Formats: sequence, structure tokens, C-alpha cells
Amino acid sequence: MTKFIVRRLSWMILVLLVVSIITFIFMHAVPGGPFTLERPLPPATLEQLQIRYGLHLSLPEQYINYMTNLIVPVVTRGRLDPASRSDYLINFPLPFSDELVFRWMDFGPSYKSTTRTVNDIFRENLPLSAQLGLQASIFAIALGLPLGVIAALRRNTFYDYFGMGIAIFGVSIPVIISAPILQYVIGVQLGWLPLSGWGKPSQMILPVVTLGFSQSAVIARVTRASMLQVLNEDFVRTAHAKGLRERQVVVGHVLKNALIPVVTVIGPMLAFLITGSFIVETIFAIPGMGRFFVVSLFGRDYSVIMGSILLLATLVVLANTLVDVAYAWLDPRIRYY
Amino acid sequence: MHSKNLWYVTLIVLLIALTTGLTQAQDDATIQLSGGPGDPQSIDPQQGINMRDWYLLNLLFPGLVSLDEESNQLEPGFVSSWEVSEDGLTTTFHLLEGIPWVRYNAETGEVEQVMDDMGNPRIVTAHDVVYGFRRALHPETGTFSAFMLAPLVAGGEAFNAGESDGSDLGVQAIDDFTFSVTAPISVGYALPLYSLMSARPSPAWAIEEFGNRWIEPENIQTFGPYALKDWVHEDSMTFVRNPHWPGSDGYAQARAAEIVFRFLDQGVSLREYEAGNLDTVSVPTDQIPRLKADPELSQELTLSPGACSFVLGFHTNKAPFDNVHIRRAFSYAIDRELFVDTVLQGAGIPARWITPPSIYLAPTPETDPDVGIAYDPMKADEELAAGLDSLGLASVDELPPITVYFRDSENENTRAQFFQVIWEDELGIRVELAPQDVTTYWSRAIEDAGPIHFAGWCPDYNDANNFLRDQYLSGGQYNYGKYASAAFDDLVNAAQAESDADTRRELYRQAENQIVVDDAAIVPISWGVVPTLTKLNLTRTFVPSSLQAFWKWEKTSE
Amino acid sequence: MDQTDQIKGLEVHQERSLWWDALVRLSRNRAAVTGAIIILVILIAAVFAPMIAPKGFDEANLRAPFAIPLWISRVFPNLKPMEEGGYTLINNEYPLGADKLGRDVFSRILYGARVSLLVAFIGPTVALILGTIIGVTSGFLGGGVDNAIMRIADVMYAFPTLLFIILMLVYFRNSFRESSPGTFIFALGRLDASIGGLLFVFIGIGITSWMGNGRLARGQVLSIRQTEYIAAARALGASTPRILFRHVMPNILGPMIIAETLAIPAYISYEAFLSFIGLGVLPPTPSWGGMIAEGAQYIQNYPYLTVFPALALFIVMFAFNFLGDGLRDALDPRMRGVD
Repeated sequence: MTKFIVRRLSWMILVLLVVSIITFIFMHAVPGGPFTLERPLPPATLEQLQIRYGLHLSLPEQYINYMTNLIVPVVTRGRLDPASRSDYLINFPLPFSDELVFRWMDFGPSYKSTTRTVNDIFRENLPLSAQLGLQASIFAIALGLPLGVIAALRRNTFYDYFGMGIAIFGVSIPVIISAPILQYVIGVQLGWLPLSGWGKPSQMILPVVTLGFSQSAVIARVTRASMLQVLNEDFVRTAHAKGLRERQVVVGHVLKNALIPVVTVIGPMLAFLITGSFIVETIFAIPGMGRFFVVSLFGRDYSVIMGSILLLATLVVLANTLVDVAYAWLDPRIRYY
Repeated sequence: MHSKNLWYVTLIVLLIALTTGLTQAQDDATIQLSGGPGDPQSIDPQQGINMRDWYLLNLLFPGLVSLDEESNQLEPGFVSSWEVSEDGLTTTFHLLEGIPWVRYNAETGEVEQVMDDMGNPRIVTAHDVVYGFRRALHPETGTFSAFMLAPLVAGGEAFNAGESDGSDLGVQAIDDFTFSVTAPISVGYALPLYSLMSARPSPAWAIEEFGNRWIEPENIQTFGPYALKDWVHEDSMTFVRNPHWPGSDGYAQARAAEIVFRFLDQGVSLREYEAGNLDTVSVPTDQIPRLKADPELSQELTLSPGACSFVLGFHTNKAPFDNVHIRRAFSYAIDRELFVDTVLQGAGIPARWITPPSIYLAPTPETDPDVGIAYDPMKADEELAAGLDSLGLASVDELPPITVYFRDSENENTRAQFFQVIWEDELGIRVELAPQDVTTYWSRAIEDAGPIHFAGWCPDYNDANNFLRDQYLSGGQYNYGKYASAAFDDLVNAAQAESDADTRRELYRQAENQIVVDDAAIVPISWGVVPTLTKLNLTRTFVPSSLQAFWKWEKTSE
Repeated sequence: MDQTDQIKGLEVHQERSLWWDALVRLSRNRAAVTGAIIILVILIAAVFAPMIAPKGFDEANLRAPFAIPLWISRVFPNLKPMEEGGYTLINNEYPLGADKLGRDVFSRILYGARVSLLVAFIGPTVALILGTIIGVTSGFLGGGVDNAIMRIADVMYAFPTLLFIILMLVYFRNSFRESSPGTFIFALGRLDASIGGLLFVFIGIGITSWMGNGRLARGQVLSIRQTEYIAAARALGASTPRILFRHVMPNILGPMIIAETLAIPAYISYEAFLSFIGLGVLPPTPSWGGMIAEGAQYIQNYPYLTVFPALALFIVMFAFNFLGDGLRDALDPRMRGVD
């Protein structure tokens, strides 16, 4: 088991390397750069800016510089103030000297902000997206799983149709319209909840529900389907035949086995939710990470594109590793290869 | 399972019930505004790039002079007076004495004066102005607007291009409170240019100490009507009244104690306004009919003149628009009134030429009824026939395919489809539409703009020169359509060198006619009108550009 | 009944064709048949849109922007006609109202079904086929092959579909512009334009969406590979392809069809999302996603612009889900006799 996880994590490094190369090539292939503005900069100014950020170098050199800054840890001497903190994502003072600071992972400057680096963005904006994403996931699971289980157990009854009706509704209404509608009806017309922002619990309800609802539908549908499949397995019939109570059969036998496809869906979903949703964050004005994924692509904010895609990639790979571990726990018959 | 189901429902209902009514309490002394989505690029005077950066930093770093929105007269910013030399090349400014540099102290909650190493208060001096100019022109700063400032400072262009060390730069601190700047040429719009956002005094010591992070709230030092209290990145910026600002004609002492800019998308802004959480907000044009019909909101709606213009440009080297008749046919075919009514829902003025009438020295519909071009289906047909004739074509079907490139946004999409319909109806020509993402669009525009391209322009300074010469002079960097007309160049060059306002106005009038009628290189469509909702308890002014005089705004409790 | 009997029973059934059986069972499922009929009707409406639609999708009336028929103003109380002190223009020529350029929303929904159904069919089909093949191979062969495929899947997975599509759209839309007639890229550009600029949305979905199915299929294979009846089938000498087709496929198709019918709205919302951020279908081609994204900004003042395309989407979604459920049940051999 430990060996398996270690092997998977070392694979992860290779995966991330490939992802970083593909992203790097693709983002430099699209026209324009971070300093392409509505009013073009004079050539001399543009050149100076490119030299400042090392964009005048050849692409392989730029890539190597980027990866070196990212991978190679450094130990610096000096006080750890906010300014120097923004140069690296990980900074911690070494225990044996109050002068030395261990620093690792420099994701580079954001070309669209003169004061902030990608490290700052990760430190300050990512946690908000993660909060939103985790809450939305919990909401989605708390709503979707029981809906799916009930629908499967009460197949072809009112519960089934009602639950699946909600699920289909949730999944077919794009967040693009559900978010402004909720905002307008609940926030403006009824005045029950604040419309936007992040921090107070009351501000979190609308975005969490909007984001979680659409995901709960997916979970509900997958749960129902896989429950139905498991319910017809022989061991379930055997369990019933042994005289176990309905509750014991469902929880002990059916649910555990039915969770495999559900876990497959939840793993990556979690990774995507944690890194934020562009639409939900834009409409509810949440200063999270999700906006950067899209805005950086359009603005050719190279280091933010690289940073955000690598972040998402890391989370997805981790989630998938966890999914595989969960498989084994849910179904001991699966062997590690 | 039933009881479990019920439990969930109860939990959710409870959660909603618990948080009901926890909406934010509003502070009367604080003006709540929307500042568009996402962080501003920078509030460093020499690093700011877009309008939003500019109106934010304008609160912190006033300019030498400023233009009054009502009288259109120049008023002193942080100076008491100024004079221009006989030859019109050197301008000398006398600074207000004793304006302190300030910062917001988060511990005391007060705006306090900044002390130097000796413990004396730091005062805004001519040296700070010189530093601001030099930093703006220094090539390594990468100041976006430097190319506009450089031609008006002796030695500026060579310095900005990295060809000189700047020792001969025409800016000088004669004494602590006298600043002079010398231009290599005499132009009629130098003063507004010397007040560009990049030409603002900047605190050299803070920039040296904190580097790029000097504009963070804990480091920044400013001197204007407001000081920066807080900046929650990607979320909001809070400005607090600076009691140490003495006030001038151009920048009065601030009235409101605090101004909060929340970084909101336009749709959200409107909903926040309707929920009572914003004090004033600009609205999308499609909302106007609803707002006008609403008994309450209609009271709060203002349509104020804007400073931007929307035009179409032809690529004058590309078939078929290398033919002036074809260009004229496309221009005459557009019903600008219909465009304003349908697409802008009334929030615009049908344009007959490029420069909006609210801009200094631009023609106005009242004084110049004969200038410019307007919808005329008869002339459109005549010009089309003449154009086909001169190209030796029998019908429009033989014209090469025409593709319209535009930035893919909801607004431009609607506009592009409108023109597609119009040209098909009026001329029988079906153009193709090709939206592109914004960065691709601009990066392509420089080397190879499409045969027809969209071009909006908002002024950098208030003078017709900015709309005409800065954009369309032969070989100019914004001249995407490669328009080259000796007649037009002569007119705008003469206007630039002229100091008499009436003569300049006449020259711009002729230049407008040259470019939109005689050469028809540019199709004027509409001049901006800004629809705004303002709560009745907010007293505010309306400046055509987005550089609002926020310090004049005041909120009264009802 | 012991296991050998069960296996024998299966074999006998399958002589009659497993797939024919499934079809028969499907036709007995009323909800699934209804779903199929709805999809068929919409498909026909989309194909014959030029004959059915009262107006062309780009037929504008610039003097009737946002015009609505009287009945809409009665249904939405805030859309009062101008004559009654409201702000809407009444024009009964438009059964479902008109958009910002006075184009008929009903006709645009009919034409928009073309693009949206294409997205709904092509995306899942590609993802399903690629996913099944790769996932089953991976799960069944195991070992090095499984490892290699899953690592490729990890790399692809790590690329968010949408970002990938955005990069491709930006790159290729610019390449088309630079291309000269006669080249391959130019031909690709024409093809792209003929389906409203969505070619790379399809390709992007295809490239980036098989992994979900792949993992699902692999997970299922891993879990049923060890079940007794597969072991029994192996013991009875069934060859690998036979086991795959007879025993594994029916087991995994169910969950995958569920996953794909679920993914359809995701694909349609990709399209809506792309419109939202300004990379949508090329104007003036209509699509449901585009109409919904565009209408979202009019929710306060002209809600019908979003409501009708969303309703159309909702109906199609229900139909797809009923059909999907029916297919799943019909394909699940263990559901036999349960209905």
C-alpha cells in the first residue's frame, strides 16, 4: 500500500512535467503576449519590459528558468518580511539560526499586477476558492448521495421520480443562469441574503448552493445507477436471505459496493471545485482563484497560466491517487499492480 | 430512510433561516461604488495602464492642473499658478507650499504625515515632480503613456528610447516649490499632457525602500484628497479622506469620509445597487427601458455625456476598401439613429464625425451642422455604383469576401450583427463575422487589421488632438487602417503647432471632414452617453471621462 | 441454481442475441420510449428547421428589438406593454418573442437545436467510444499497459477540458485568419465556420473527456474481473474478446450511459460558458448554450430570452435521461425479469 502510494506520487512528478511542457508550448503558440494592450506599447518600452521579465530569451531558456525557480529550493539570509515572502510560496525560518530562511517554489510574477506574484495569488486567493469548493462538495454529497440512494431503493416510485427530477433539473440549468436568478430573487427581491462577497456565513450560502446543487445532481444520478446495479448482485440476495435487516444490507453491503463509481466521480470533482469556478466567483464577486484560470488565458499572463494549470494538475493527480486507494478500501478484491 | 430524508430538509431550512436577515449594515459616511471585476493593474502613477487605474490613483496623486467638467477651463491641481514662456516652450509651475506626504496608520485609524529620517514631515516638492517625470520617461519603468509625454519634454524621446542618460531632460526643480518643464515644440495641449497620470509626483524614498510593493496599503505614501486605507486584492479598495490635503480649485478637499470600490462585474453591480448596497452604478444599455418604466429607478437614472467615441475603420490598402467610393457607400449605408435606438437603447448620440462634442475644440452639432457624414441610402447606392464601376465589376457579388474582425464580447457581438444586417439590407453585401479573443485581436490589429475593424477611443487628455492626430496621422501606431492622407496630416500638424483656439477648432473641423467624408477612411457611428443610476441621497458630479471628481461627492442621510 | 447453471443459462440467452433482447426490453419501458420520441421529434425539427421555422434565424427586424407577443407579457408580470406603463414592445408575429435585433426566438431555438444536438451527440459518443475501448483494455490487460494508459489519462485529466478548448479555439481561430485558400488549415476553417465555429469544441471534448469513462470502465472491469462468474467463464474456456463483449460490456455500459447522459448538459454548458467568456458559436448562428449565456444578462429585464432556450434544454435533458435509464436497464443482464 505505502509502496503503491509512493510509486504513484513519483509518477505524479513526471505527469506534472509533461503537463508543464504542453501548457508552456501551447500558451506561447497563441498570438499576443502579456504586454499586448489595446494601446500598443512603444517598441523600446516593450523591449525593456520583456528584458525585465526574461521574456526576451528563447523559449527553452524561459522554460528552464521557470522550472528552476520553481523546483530549486534556496536558503536566504535576512528577515522574513511581506515583500520577500511574496517571492516564494514556501518560506520558513530555519530552526538553528534566526537569520536563515528556507524558501521553495517561486511561481513567478503576475504580469497583470505590478505588486503581486503568483505566490501571493496562491496564498491569498486560493484558500477562498478552497473554502467555497469544499463547502460546495459537502453540500453536493450531502444532497446527492441520499437522493440517489433513496431513488434506487424506492425505484419507480414517487421518491425516485421526484429525486431524479431534481437531479435532472440541477444538472440541466447552467450555473450561468442559476447564479444570477438566485442572486436576483433571493438577494434583491426577497432581500434574504447578501448578494456577493465572501467571508460571512450568510454570504456563503448562495454560491455554495449554486455550485453544490449542480454537482449534487451528478452524484445522485451516479449513486442511483450504481446502487441499482449492486442491489441485484447475488451477495445482496444472499444477505437478504440470511435474514439481515434492510438497513444492515443497504449500509453494510450495498452502499459500500455502490460507492466505487461515485468515488470515481467525486475525486476529480473535488479537485476542480477547490481550485474555483470562474462563473460562480465572477457573479458572486468572490476573490478566489477560479477567475485567474480564464482571465490569465485571455491576458496571456504566462506565469499565472502555468501556475494555475500546474496547481489543478497536482490536485487532480492527487485526487485520482486517493480514488485508487478508496477503491481498495471499498473493494478488497482489487489488487494493486 | 424517511426520517433521514426529513433530517436533511430540516437542516437546510434551518441553515437558511439562521442566516436570514444578516445583510450588511451600511455606513452613512461611506460611499459604496463598483470598480469593475478583478484587481486594478497598478495604482503606481507610472505603472497604471487602464482607466480604472487612473481614476483610482487620481484620488491619491493629483496632477499639476485639472480640467473642470463644467467650465472646460484648466484649474490648478497641487500648484498655485503657472506661466508659459514667450516662445511657448517652457512652462513654470509654482507648487502649493507645505502639502504633506501622508499614509494611513491602521493602528490609530488616522491618516498621518510621513516623517523623513530626521523626523521632519515630508513635503511635496518640485524634486518629487521631477522624479515623477523622470521615472515616467525612464525606459526601464515601462510606463505605458510615456510615448505621449516624451515628445513634449526636451530630450524626452531620446531618453525614453534608451538613447541618452537623461541628463539633458527638460524638467527642472528651480527651487523646492518651483518646477519647470521645457518642450522641444510648442503645442496647444501641453498643459493637459503635463497632467497625465504618469507625470505625477511620486515618493522616491518609498519606491526605493519597498520596490514593487510600495503601493500596498502598508507602504504607500500619497498626498491627494484621499489616502489608501485598505486593498483586499481582487475584492475591494477603501479610500479614506486625507485631512492634510489643503484643497485646490482642481482638487477640492474631500467631502465623504470614505469611498469603497468593490471589484464587481457589471451585472452584479446593478443587482447590488437594486438591493441598496451601492450608491451609484453605471448600467448596461439594455436595462434602460426597464429603468425608465420603473417609477422609482427612473428617478435615479441619469444619461450623461461620455468622452468616448465608437467608429469603424477600413483598411485603406485592402480590397475592396482601397476604393474610396466603396468606403463611402459602406459609411452612408449606416443608419446611426437606428443604431443608437436599437443597439444602444438610446444611450448614445449618432456621430457624424470622430471627436465627441464634449472634447475640447471638437466640432459640435449646434455650431457645425454641415460637418461630417450621415445616413443617406441614395448616396450609398450612388457611391456603390461608382465604386463598382471604377473597379470594373458588374455586381456586388464580384466583390472579394469581406470579413469583419472584432473582440468577442456581448456588446461587440451585437454591434457586428447589426452592421451585418444593415449592409445586407442597404447594399446587398453580406459580410462575414469573425470574433476573436481580445489579446489576439489587439496583437493582430497592429500588423494586420482586418478590412473593417471596430475602434473605440477614449481620450487620454481632453483635446481634439488626441482623437485625430494621435490616432490617424500617417504611420501612427494606432492607425490600424494604414490611413495615409497628406491633406489630413497637414491639417492636424498645423493645428498641433497653432496656439489660437479658434484657428485650431477650424483646422480640426476641416480634418474631420477630410477623414470621414472626403477620404471616408473612418466611419463615425456614435458618441458615448453613460447611463448611471444614483441613489437620491448621493450628491455627485458627472465628468464625461471616467476620471470622476470623487472628492466632490457627498452622501447625506435621509 | 449453482454457478455453472447460471453461466450456461447466460450462454443460451446470448445465442438469441443479447442486443436484440436489450432492444425488446427497451421498447417495453414507457419512459424510455417517451424520451426517444421526444428526441426524435426535436431531431426532426432541427433537420427540417428551414421548413418549420416561421422566420430565418438571422432575419432581423431592427425596429422591433425585444418585442414580445401579448401572452408573454401576461405570463411575466414585469413585462408590461408600453401602453400599460411598462416597457415592452408588443408584436404578436413572434410566438416566443424577439431578441435584441428583432430576431424570432422560436425560430432561433429550432435552428439552435442543430448545434446543440450536435454537441449533445458528438461529445458523448466520442467520449464513450474512446473511453470504453481504452478503459476496458487498460483494466483487463492490467500491468504495464494499464499503468501506461492510466498515466496518459492522468496527463490528459490534469488538463482542464475548458482551458484546453479555450487554448485550441484561440489558436485555431487565429490560424484560420492567417491561412490562404487551398491549404488544409483553410479547409478546416471553412468546415469550422459551417458548424458555427464549434469544430474545436468537439475535438476538445473528444480529446479531454474519454478519461472519465476510461476510469469508470477500468474501475468496473477491475471490480467485476474478480467476480465469480468471470472466473467461471474463464474456467469454461471463454476467450478474452468473448468475455469482454459478453460479460464485461453489458456490465459497464449501464453506468457509462448514465455518466454520458449526465455529461450532455455539461457539454452544452461548456458551450454556454464559452459564449459567456466570449468564445462561443460564431454569430449569427444560434445555439441553446449561446442563447442561454446571452440571455443571462437580460434576466432582470427580458427573462423570456433565457427561459425558453433553457426550457428546451430541460426537455431534451429529461428525454435523454429517461432514454439513458431505459438503455441502462435494458443492457443490464441482471435486470432481466425484474421489470
